Amino acid sequence: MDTSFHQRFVEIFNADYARVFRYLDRLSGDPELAADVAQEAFVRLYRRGSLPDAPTAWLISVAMNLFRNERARHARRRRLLTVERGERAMAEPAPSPYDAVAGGESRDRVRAALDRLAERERQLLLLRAEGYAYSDIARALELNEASVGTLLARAKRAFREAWEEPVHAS
Amino acid sequence: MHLDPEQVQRLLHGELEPGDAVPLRAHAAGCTVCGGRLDAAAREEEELFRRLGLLDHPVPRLTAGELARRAAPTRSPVWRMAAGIVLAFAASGVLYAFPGSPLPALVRGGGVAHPPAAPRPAPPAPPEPGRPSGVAVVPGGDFAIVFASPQARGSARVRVVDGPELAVRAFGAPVRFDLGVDRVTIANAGAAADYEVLLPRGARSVRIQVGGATVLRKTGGRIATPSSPDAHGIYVIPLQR
Repeated sequence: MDTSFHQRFVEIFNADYARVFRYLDRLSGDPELAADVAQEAFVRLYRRGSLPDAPTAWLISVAMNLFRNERARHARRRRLLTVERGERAMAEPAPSPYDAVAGGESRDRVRAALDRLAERERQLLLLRAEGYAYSDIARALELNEASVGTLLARAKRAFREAWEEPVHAS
Repeated sequence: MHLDPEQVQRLLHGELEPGDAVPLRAHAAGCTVCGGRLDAAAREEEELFRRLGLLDHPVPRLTAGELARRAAPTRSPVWRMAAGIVLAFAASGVLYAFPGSPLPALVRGGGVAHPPAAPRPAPPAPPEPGRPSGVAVVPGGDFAIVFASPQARGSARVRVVDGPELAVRAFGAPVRFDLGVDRVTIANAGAAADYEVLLPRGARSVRIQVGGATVLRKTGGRIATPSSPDAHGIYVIPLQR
């Protein structure tokens, strides 16, 4: 493995690993899935043996594709389990101690508000919250870079409306 | 003229060139409407990001070194089996040739009365698991994959993928890839390789040429080529002409 590539990889890993994980964690609400996908994205970058033109945007794109595939696989598996074992398999796992400490209802409310956004708005907000540059966001989400700010403003407004929208228990 | 939402967000995030940012900041400083918009946007963002932080779990501990070790290529089971067979042959040969070894007598005593066999060629060594032959690139607006020559045999299996990268890989024979700004040229004269071509779904315009003739064209979501995709969505493009 080329030494300069390895050094550059270490720099990118140190700068990006935590925020790729956090982005995926917030997107999915599943820290194990987020950790697996983030690691796999970096493994793929390392195995590539050379850096793409825009490594940050490349990492986000690869992570999002992996995440979509994993989520689809989980959904298929969950459907199969449901058929085999009945609705019991659909039950959510009990909240972890970390969940309890981190604030239960507020976290649920943030999750509910995020879930009401369009996929693109959710991704925009979460990427910007991690400090990604407009150029990387545009490249990863295949947007026109000149309109990233406008789309961000809309996504923020959508979140505010979703946050203020009363939640009706069903 | 007041700041529009794009300008407000860009000012907030430092996404303007200094030449553009300075006059807008000066305007916002003297305009109560725009100054108010900028302050409100900053407060709203701070509140939003704080709320998003409620979703966080601890970041798993992992270092680049650990990840690099995990990413190191591993031998495939086929490779390991082939290596095992070669080792077994080598060990038998050493045992047979070892002075005082009972193996030659055992072989002769087994009633095998053949004349000494001509030396057999050594079994072919398993291929070295070298780097894959190919290129990967994020294509711009118009991109061409150019096979410089038709081939006597071989084909390109073309697949549309979700990632941002266009990739061309060769299997079975060495070929050279020349990567330009808007094209990759495969110097395949006299080669009999097969290829895998991955086209990003988002690529606007990509064409594949063989010996000067266009055999596939992707324009947005449309693909024009004489062959139909198989059950897995793969277009098999023969390289003979």
